[in-house]
Amino acid sequence: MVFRELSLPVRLLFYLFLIVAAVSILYPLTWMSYTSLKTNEEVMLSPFGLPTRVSFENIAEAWQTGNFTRLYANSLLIAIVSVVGIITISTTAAYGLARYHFNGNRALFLYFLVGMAVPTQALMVPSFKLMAILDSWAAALHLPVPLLNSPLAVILTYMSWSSLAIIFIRAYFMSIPPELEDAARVDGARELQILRHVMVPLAMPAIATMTIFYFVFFWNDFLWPLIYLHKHTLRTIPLGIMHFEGKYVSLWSLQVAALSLAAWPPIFIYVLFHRRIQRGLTEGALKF
Amino acid sequence: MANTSQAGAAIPRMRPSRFRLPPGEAWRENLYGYLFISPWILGFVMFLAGPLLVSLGLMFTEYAGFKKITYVGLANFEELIKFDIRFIGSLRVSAVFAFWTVSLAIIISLAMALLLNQRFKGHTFFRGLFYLPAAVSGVAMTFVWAAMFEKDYGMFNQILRIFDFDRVAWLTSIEWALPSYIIMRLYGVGHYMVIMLAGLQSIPDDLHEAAKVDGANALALFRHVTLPLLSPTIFFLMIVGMIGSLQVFTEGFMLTQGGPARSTLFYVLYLYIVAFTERRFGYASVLAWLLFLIIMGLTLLQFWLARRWVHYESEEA
Repeated sequence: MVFRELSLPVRLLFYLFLIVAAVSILYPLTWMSYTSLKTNEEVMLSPFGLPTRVSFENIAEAWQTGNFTRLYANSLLIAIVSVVGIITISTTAAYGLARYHFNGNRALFLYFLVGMAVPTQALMVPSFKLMAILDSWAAALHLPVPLLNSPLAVILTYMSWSSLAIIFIRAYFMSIPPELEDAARVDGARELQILRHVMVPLAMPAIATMTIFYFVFFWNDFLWPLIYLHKHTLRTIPLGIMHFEGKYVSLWSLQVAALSLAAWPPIFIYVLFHRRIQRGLTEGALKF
Repeated sequence: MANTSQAGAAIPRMRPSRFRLPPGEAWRENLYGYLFISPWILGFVMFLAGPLLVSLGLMFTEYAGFKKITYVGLANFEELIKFDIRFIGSLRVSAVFAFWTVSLAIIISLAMALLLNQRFKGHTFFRGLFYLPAAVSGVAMTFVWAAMFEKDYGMFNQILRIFDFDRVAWLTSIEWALPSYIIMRLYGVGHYMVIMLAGLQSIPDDLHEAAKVDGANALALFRHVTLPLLSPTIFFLMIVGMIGSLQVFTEGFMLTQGGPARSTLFYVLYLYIVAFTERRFGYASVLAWLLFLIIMGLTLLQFWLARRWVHYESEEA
């Protein structure tokens, strides 16, 4: 069935259907966005109507009362450090697995694939306990690395979730012809230099895809900050939002403004990178 | 194939070949290989495999997270099987939730993918748009949905009112709370759609052409060509979707905390409550391991199916 061969009414109907679907899918997000740009009176008068003029008063107030500067800083710190860590670990590991024929390579790879299958929620109790133990060891050794009530606990936990990135980047490495590395080796490059200056630039599409994936995932994650971070100064955006929504129940417009502040960054990332995200999604699905 | 060591002794040649290296070079392969993977192994053992093993031990104890830890033998398992109604309930809630979200998501995403697979103007735009909600999941979206479901002013009840229906107590009634979560979850159907679309596009055109030459109509084409060739993708989505919906936690924790009358007590939510509200770490570990085994089983099933269906291009194994 070729689309152009269909009659005009059928094609129009087709577009109409798509537009209706698009509008209803976009509605919750657009509602959130435009409501947070309304004035308080307008929100009271017509909670679901369009704004007559754009006002940033609620956004500004939500930013102030919700202490979003701190929330953003905490979320960014955790997400950026975790992503940099996980990408570094996964790229080196993927290279080792893709190119070195060491004893037990295949077995290790399969064994650690299992890591993908571990539902991280199943680990909440022992991980929580582990951090307490590591914290007391660090304190006994007078090391300045607190792990209780510390973003480091969240970061370390996130960094152990590298299986997906390893599988993805390893598959990409394996599709790169080995002659390029050989050429570098003949030129006297050392193994780490080859990884850094030959392989990483070549595998940039895969690495970038994983970076975006993990960043958005960590940015949105709620459970692990909830388990580890009990001080209000440490809250990430999801935690902050939860407390904010509980506190200002009656202030509808303020609440929605806070939601926008939380949801806009991932929307922005998606709009910027949607091609790469979708390609990564399908490649990932087809490869496993 | 040439022997891998021919390039010279000083240059370690690492091919994904299955040939053994001469003894003089094997150690280099091992050294570099292990060096490169060591940070990963370290993190994996400490923060993933380690905790998993610790909770294996905790299953036989009663432990509130403080000093005192008591060995209780199989008491936790006995409680799970014989006495725990909440456990049975939460398993049921999660199973019902997984069944409906996954089957509806597959049907809807298949329909959407079939539409978007037509080569019309703007199909990439619509595809991008339909995936957007899946990219913005999380706490903010959950609260937006809570607003939509609100009893008096929420969008859903406003729409119902236009058509003269009674308003529905979406998140606050036993009958509607779980369906509300299913609707909420289906909002992320774009995720399924993107993968479904990729599956559709991997079906070679000539198969359709050949079937048409043989006189197949659109329905027969779909039923006998498209659907069978799409079945690996559908199975993949089924399993991944099941794994995903068994792990639902955030939405339930935010909005209903399992209520009303435990009708939305998702499995992971129950696990969290046992662990951190009731502080029964031993019993929570039993629940955690059961979750692990279920999801592990599903994942192994997926790998097994993938092996049978998916052709690797870069790897012979």
